[in-house]
Amino acid sequence: MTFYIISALVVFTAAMVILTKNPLISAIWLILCLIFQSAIFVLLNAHLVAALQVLLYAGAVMVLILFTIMIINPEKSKWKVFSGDRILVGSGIIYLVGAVGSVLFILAKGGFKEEITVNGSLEGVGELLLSKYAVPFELLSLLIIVTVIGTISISRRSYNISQNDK
Amino acid sequence: MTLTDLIIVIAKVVFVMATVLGMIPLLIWWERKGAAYIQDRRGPNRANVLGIRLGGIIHNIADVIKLLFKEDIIPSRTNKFLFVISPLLVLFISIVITAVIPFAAPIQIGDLFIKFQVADLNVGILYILAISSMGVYGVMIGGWASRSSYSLIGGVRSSAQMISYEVALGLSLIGVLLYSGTARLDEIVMFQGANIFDWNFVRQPVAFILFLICLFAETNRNPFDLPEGESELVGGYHTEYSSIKFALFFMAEYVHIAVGSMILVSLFFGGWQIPFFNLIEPNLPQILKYGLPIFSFIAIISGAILSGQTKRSKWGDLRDYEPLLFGLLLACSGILLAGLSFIGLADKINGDILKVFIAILQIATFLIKTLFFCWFFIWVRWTLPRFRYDQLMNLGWKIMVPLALLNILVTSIFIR
Repeated sequence: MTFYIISALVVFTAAMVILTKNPLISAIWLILCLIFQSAIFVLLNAHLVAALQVLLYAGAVMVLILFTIMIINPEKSKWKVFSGDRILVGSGIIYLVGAVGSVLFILAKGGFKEEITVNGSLEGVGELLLSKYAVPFELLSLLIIVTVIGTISISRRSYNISQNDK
Repeated sequence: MTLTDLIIVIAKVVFVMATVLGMIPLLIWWERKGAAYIQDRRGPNRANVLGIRLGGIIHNIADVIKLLFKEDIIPSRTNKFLFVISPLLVLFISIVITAVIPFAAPIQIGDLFIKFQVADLNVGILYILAISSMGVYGVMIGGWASRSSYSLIGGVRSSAQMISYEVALGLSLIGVLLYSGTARLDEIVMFQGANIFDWNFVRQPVAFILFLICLFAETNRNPFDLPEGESELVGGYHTEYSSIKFALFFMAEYVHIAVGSMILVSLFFGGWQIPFFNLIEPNLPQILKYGLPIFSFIAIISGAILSGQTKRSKWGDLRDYEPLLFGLLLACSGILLAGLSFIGLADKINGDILKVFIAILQIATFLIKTLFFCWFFIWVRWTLPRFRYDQLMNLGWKIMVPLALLNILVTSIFIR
């Protein structure tokens, strides 16, 4: 029962994200959506993932998005709820096909397993990360470092150009 | 969940809320009096109820009445819902953090196992970080919804400052996590033990200093109060707020201080641990038996001395009788204690009652430590000037983050 209430809230807030005209308010709906998603993780006993979901996505990433929206202040331009943009519609269709396809694939393979026991505590996840999934974990951190360096180098270059213009 | 469990949970929530909210008027009074004495003034001493001033505490009542009855202005062309919700959000988030703070050691009475903690989470510290990272939204949304340039700049400044210092805050905590080997706050407090030299501020001094500085930045207090810098931004993110909505922002600031001090005390100052309690505990009944009469004697004597200080012509109003009143109260409580010890109260404190008594002592210790750090916040605010914005960012990113990383490195080398 709790699951259905929370998932209904997740779907509702996710719908509100794309149905709101004001970009800042749709970002606030996205924050709510992420918080409700973390509630689903709590239901699965994955407390660490729930806390990280709030800390990183709702707390850090969304602050940056809100920050950007506030500085750009796009309210002056006109925004439509549905634009006939081909890329948008196309990516929506691809996503829908992918989601439905994966559900059908799982059902064809024999449905969902009844219960998957995962130790979602801090110790459990930490042990998994440093034993079974050590290599993917390290590769991911490498990827993040590459991204950070790339971002810095791109922003530094534009900084230098603007300095030379003066 | 049985009815008893439910009652215990409700009692815990009410106790925590009452403690945190009760600290607000006390801290406001401290702030005013502390500021006044640091600046060589007297501070609030005029507002009174029937001549009773209590050294300025009564001024809070005047403030509340003023703020409640002021005109509540909502600027035109704003998003009213967001404008109203943001002060509530700020206050709510700063109170909710208290859920994982342990107030005393868990006790066992019969079948009942009581933890003095509202929620015992496996990811205690991460919960604090996660919820406090949500705190920035109240300020940001409030600044944006006000439709004022001052508010917007205040909100943007605040969010930039908070996310910058959150990095150093989180990294400084990793040192404590490594040293304690757990993320549960009650286990961290338990791990520190009763010996002062085992507490984390001795064992993790760099992490302690970094955490303290980051706490100042997270609470938007001086020297990090750029989000509301009066000389540049009028009032920062709460420029457009008036009446009770401003009061909520104001209250949230003090709740922030109280909660921040509680976290600091739990992580670095042994939480509810009574200093050197391991030496006291075996002899506690004896200490009670002989300590109670001595304590009541001291109370009676000092009460009598205080009453003797009364001079009728000093102020010329009811303030003259304050020493007499407090002296009499002290003397009466001393007589009461003496009577209780005479009928053998100290012998009756044993078993379950002793456990509850120790828990009360631990809560008192915790609150005293917390109040000391609250005073520290006020002290620093009225002593240091405000940072410049580039200095703030330099300190955050170029000094604090490398130091925190170094602390993690050194801790993980020496931990094993």
